[in-house]
Amino acid sequence: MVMQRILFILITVFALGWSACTDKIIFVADESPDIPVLESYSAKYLWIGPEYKLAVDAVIQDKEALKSLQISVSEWNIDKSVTLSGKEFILQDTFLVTRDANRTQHEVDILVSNAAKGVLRVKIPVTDLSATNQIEGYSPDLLPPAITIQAPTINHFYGLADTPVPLNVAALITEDVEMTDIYFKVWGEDVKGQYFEVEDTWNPTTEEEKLSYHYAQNLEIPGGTAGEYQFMIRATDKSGNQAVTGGNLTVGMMDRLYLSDAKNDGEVSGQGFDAYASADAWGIGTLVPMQKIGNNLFQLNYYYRNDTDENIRFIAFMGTDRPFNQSPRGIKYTLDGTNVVALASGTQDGLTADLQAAEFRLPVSQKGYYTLTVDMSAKTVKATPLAATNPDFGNAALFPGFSASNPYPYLAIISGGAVVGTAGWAEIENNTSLHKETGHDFIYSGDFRTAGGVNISFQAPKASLAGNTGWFRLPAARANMRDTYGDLVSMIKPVGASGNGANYGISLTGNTDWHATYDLITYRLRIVKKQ
Amino acid sequence: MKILQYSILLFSLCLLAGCNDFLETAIETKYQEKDVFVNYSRMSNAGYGVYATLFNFGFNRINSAMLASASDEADHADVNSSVQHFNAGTWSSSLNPDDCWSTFYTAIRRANLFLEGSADYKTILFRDTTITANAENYRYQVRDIEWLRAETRFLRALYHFELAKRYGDIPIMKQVIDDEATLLKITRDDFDDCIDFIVTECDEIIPLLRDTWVDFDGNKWRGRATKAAAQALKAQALLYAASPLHNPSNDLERWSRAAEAAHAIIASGKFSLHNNYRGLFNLGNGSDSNPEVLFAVQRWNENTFEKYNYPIGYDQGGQATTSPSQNLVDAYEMRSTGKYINQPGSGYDPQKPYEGRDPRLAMSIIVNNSSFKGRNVECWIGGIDGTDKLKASTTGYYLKKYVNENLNLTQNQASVHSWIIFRYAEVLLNFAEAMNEAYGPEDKRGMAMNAKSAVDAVRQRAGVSMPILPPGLTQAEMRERIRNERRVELAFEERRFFDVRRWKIAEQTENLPLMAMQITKRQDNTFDYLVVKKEDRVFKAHMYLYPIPEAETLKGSITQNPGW
Repeated sequence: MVMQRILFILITVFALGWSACTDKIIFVADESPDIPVLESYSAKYLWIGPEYKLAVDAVIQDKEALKSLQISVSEWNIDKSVTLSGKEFILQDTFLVTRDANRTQHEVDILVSNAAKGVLRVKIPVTDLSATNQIEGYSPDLLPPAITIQAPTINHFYGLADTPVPLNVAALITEDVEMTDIYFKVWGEDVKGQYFEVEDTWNPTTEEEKLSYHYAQNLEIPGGTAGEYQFMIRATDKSGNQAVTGGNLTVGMMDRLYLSDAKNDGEVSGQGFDAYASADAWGIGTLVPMQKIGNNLFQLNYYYRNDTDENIRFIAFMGTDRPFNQSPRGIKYTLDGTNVVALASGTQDGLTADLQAAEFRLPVSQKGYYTLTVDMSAKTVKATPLAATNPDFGNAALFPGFSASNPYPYLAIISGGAVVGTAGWAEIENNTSLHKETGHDFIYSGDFRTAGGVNISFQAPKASLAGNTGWFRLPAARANMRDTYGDLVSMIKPVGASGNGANYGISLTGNTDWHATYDLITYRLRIVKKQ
Repeated sequence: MKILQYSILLFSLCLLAGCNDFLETAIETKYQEKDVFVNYSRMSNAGYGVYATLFNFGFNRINSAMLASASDEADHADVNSSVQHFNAGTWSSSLNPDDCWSTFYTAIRRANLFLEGSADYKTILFRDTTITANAENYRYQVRDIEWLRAETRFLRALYHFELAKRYGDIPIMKQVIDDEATLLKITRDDFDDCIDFIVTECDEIIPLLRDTWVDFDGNKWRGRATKAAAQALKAQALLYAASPLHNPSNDLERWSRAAEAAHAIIASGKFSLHNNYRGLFNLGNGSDSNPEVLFAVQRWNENTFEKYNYPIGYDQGGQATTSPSQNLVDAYEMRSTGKYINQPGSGYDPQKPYEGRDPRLAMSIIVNNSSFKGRNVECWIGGIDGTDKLKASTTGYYLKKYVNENLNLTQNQASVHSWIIFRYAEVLLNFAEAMNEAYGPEDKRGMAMNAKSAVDAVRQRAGVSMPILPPGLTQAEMRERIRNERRVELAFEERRFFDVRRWKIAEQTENLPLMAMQITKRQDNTFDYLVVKKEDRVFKAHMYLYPIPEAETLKGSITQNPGW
């Protein structure tokens, strides 16, 4: 019964659907609906003069009457409709198309309908004849000149001194037919808005020059003030094809900045290195990395002793330049290099590259912690007092038993015995230590002697450690003690207590006497050979 | 983000598991709302749960397909995949493969529930922590909930943006609404008002968010939203508001605001381009020497993405869910000249189509005869990875970006995948686009860069080293170069799909057929390359915005977008 009802419903729905179709097509047995006929058709992809075209030809016929034609090639965005009448239509159409970068298979989609609603759809493959231009003798010069820049090879200049920066430009320019002119321009402005521009045009005269020319320009761009410039070389050939190339130039736009508080050259060459397993060596000494906080803007939290022999300088680096060779270790800067600035005498906060007129101090009169902000564009250094606190003091893992009112009296030096006065990876009685300095809260310093390459660590006093050993741990610390630029190791945080073992601490090479200081606020470690 | 994988459990399993539609208020829950906002643990888990929606971003956005396969970047080898509805133009208000309406409104509701439930967090935490008399805990927890509340506002703004960029005008939901009568009266807010809401929220929370979660509390919180994430969201929202789809009168002030917002990130100096474009997408989210990532979702150990995208000839690989298109491959310039391949003098050789190209091509796409997992990939007809194989690439290319090449799928090896939501290269390109539209290609307007230098910086990333753009480009020429740079640099990152819409050029780009490379190996072991049409695609003018789901419009007060 249910099945009968379902069958009835299906039949009714089918009948209603059929009767609702007002536009009926009735197919008579043994008779196909009329469809148009396409004859003699072709489609060609042609290069004609400077243009690429698709040419479509066909003869379209119908027994009764044609109605419409649609031509489409979607990848060329061709979609054209034509209303037809009569029994025959001769299609001869061309379409401007883009040049194929790759050999490409195209098809022209043809859709023809007739008055009897018969539809014919044909895909005509496109024959690629674009290799040869259809205009005999047409041989256009389509290639622009080729420019190979040979100089400058360095595009970024320190330019700290108040003198112009030499710029040598050289390029080899070649052309396959005839070069007509070469245009050179360098332009830009410094951070004070001073605009600079030099331009030059050269027209080759000899046949040789029209095919190949070494262009050279020696000029000077402004120095002393940071600025950004560009240069361009444009070569034009007889057909109007142009090639343009060029580059960016910067003056005084620094990638890295370090504060140096080396008292003298000896403290530069005598800096400690972390040189674990003879691999890369990382400086731990008189350079402190400043964090880049903006465009040519650098910042650092720093403890300033305000000693009479302060020797504060700021040392800049660009690109791949670094202060140290890492392997083999070595120093790559001097205190009086062209990349050094210091406080200008007689100014509140000005920096100068003229070290003869510099004071080598910070612009403050009191010892203490400061946030230093150096603007290398404005060439200023500002010092803002910083509270002598450290949020990590409350972290018992990092500072066991420590409080600001009850600071550690010393930091024990421990090593596997290669530091004279130590005898294993735990503090012993009368261990060599860094002692809390008088007059400088949170600063610990001391001397020690190494008897060869060592691993060395520092730790909170035994009484505070409650049985644990280790404070800096090499496996953890080494991975985390990269500086803001990823290589100098001057800021080293405690990483908490660790188990015993030789592989923790900082590696120092050399059989010598060292002087070390450590700052519990900024985590700065400073190790130099004792002088 | 790792912590979120665990902490979302409370929320996703209990509190709101039954909320499929923001208009529905039924809650299937083990905990009632009153049971959640009683202590730090439950309250914070409720906050972390708002992050859970981020796992919908990226890799398998539409049943195993990336959004790239719904654009001219790629094709999905499975003709029955629902993503094909985008390509065939057969999607509708009741059949939208990327219908995110309920997903994001559910997430927004979660955010609002947390914000309202935790409003009195200091009292709740005090009550909780006095039991243990742990003042240090109290301070930690107060601080954490303060951050979490700001992060939740960020996520709420992000989810509004994800909705607005798809649907245009959308209801702004700032509070939990349970009353059905009120819900039924909700109407759509203007797109510009949505952007204003997002920007205002970002401005308010930027001071409240942390700079970074790296090196904090044992790194266990890394992946949580930061100031830079909010800055990036603001910059991107303003860019969309300035774009032709939403700025028909080309109000230059909008471009100027977008440029300034992006510049704030650049001027902070905290981010830079990673020196390994290939490795960038296989790294975590910020703590592993990745200076480029502003916000990312770190997922779990998995190999589904590799199973979907390894070439067909590799063990257990091969569904070609993202088969890169010839259209995209053609967009990579020549490295030596910096020219497009169809430009005279570019140096392009059609018979060696992958030689001398922008290095990002080989880092993003597996091309024929290139090395992958210890052998050369055979994309030619008859090759073991060839297009004639079932479930093989339909285009002659396989995806490389994001794909971990080092997994042994037969041993079920897996790796952590991270989906980057905001990165510095995009910030530079957002800035370049806005600067060019506002001031032209080489005008700095007192900022650190101009449009050209920002694009040049992206092109000159270490290991990419594409030539800088030629000086003296017109604004229109620079616009074209920036658009192509985005297409290449941000390929497969869910940018192209939306870029062509906001630029209002999808009627041109998405109506072009998807092209493929048919490769034949000759007897002398050289290859014949022929570009063929893979499929025609359909995009109509009304498709610039998604249709509002039919179920929502039937409720009465939510209107439909034009043309749907």
